[in-house]
Amino acid sequence: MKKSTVKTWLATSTTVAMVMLSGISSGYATEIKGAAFDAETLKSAEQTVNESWTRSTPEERKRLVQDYSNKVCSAYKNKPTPELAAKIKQFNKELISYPQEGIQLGDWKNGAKLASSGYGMRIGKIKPDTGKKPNGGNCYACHALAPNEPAAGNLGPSLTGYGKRGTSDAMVKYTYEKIYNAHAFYACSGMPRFGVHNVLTSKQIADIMAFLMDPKSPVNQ
Amino acid sequence: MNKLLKLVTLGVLGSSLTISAHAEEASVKDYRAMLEDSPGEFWVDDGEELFHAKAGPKNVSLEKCDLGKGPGVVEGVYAELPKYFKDTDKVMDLESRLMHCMITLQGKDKDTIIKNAFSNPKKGKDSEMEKIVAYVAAQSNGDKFNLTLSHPKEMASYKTGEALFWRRSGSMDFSCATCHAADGKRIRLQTLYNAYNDKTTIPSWPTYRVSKSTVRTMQNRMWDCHWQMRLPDVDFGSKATIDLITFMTKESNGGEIHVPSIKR
Repeated sequence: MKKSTVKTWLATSTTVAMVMLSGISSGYATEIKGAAFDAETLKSAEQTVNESWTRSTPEERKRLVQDYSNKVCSAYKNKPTPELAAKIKQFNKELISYPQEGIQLGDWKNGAKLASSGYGMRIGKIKPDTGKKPNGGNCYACHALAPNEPAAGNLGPSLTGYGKRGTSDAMVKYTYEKIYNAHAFYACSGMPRFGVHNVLTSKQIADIMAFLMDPKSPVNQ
Repeated sequence: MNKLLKLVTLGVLGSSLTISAHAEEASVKDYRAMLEDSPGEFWVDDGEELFHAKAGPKNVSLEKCDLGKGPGVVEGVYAELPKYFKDTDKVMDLESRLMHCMITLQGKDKDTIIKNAFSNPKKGKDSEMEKIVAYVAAQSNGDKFNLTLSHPKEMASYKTGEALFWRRSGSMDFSCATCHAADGKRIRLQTLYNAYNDKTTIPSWPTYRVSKSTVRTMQNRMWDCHWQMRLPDVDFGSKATIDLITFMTKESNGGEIHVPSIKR
């Protein structure tokens, strides 16, 4: 892959990202060296996106806008330099917000349902989700969890027996933050940022945390 | 009648695909082997009739449509698509090229073509596009994909396609690469194709989807993946879809075309 310098590209995109994500300092517009794609190709990809969703609404098209984190991860094929990885993690730490009532474990039985459900957030004219059911976390799509559920994906690591890693306050806080925004810990993680994008509420995250950590949960049997 | 019986058997087998990834792969292999033909052969037969039938406001067939090897030639064209077309000064895939012919030769309306591009068997909605695509693609069966990228716009399409393949956005922060850039990965029990190391999957599309009871095309697959990624409906025949298809097809160069195949 060509080494390249992509200065104006990132500066422009960060302006857009800042409109989308308020409260973000301007320290993330930096020169990028050694990206996986050359500047011309990245520019062509953006032009192509602009002309390929003409039948969608402006509201729907907002989902195509990249923030700083996704922009850098895409350009580096999810393998940023150590310096950029540190910036990405910091950027994402700043996006985490916490429930007013504090972080606590919820209902593991509801967490189990959420772990199985992939419902929610699909849009468009052809087959949109109606929003009549709560969004799911779809954990099983990528992770092994309860040992009695063989239909588990393997894009993410197995989380079977997760509660045995400990249930200290620090572990509870880490688990909340990881579900809310995994990219604060692992730059360019494949995991969706469930809290950042309001896919899951803090109550739903608490239920999934209980499914992972409660000693009675099948995950820990 | 024989084919109908097979279809029924297929449906029964299709609904019992559970237990484990290994078992699923095994049973899919079993019912593939059981069939002499894909149910998609019905679509190929219908597509052949539609290709040669007079249609549209201009009441002409698609027999003058140049799919890359001259007007009316269907043999072997799919193996070299997407490719650059001088008359439009664009790289086009099979479906966007067919749409171009339907508009320019037959006088059909673009919005109507797009509206009817995907069938919906549950609602009794048929798609002529899916049938014609199945027919034309099947005329390359046994051929190997051979994209040369000899025109600068073809090379640009490939490069842009790869950048789009890795472009993350939306409510799930996904890109195509999230699922399709490594070996041995699964969503639940569904094995995932790796764009960088697979020369059989792309040459198996268009395919008869058992779960959808219809033939699905690459354009549909592009829409479906974006929909699953929680992104808006990507325009049918848009540059993004064509560039992605150019990238994936070039990576499948040398893979032998067998369509319509059968999938879950």
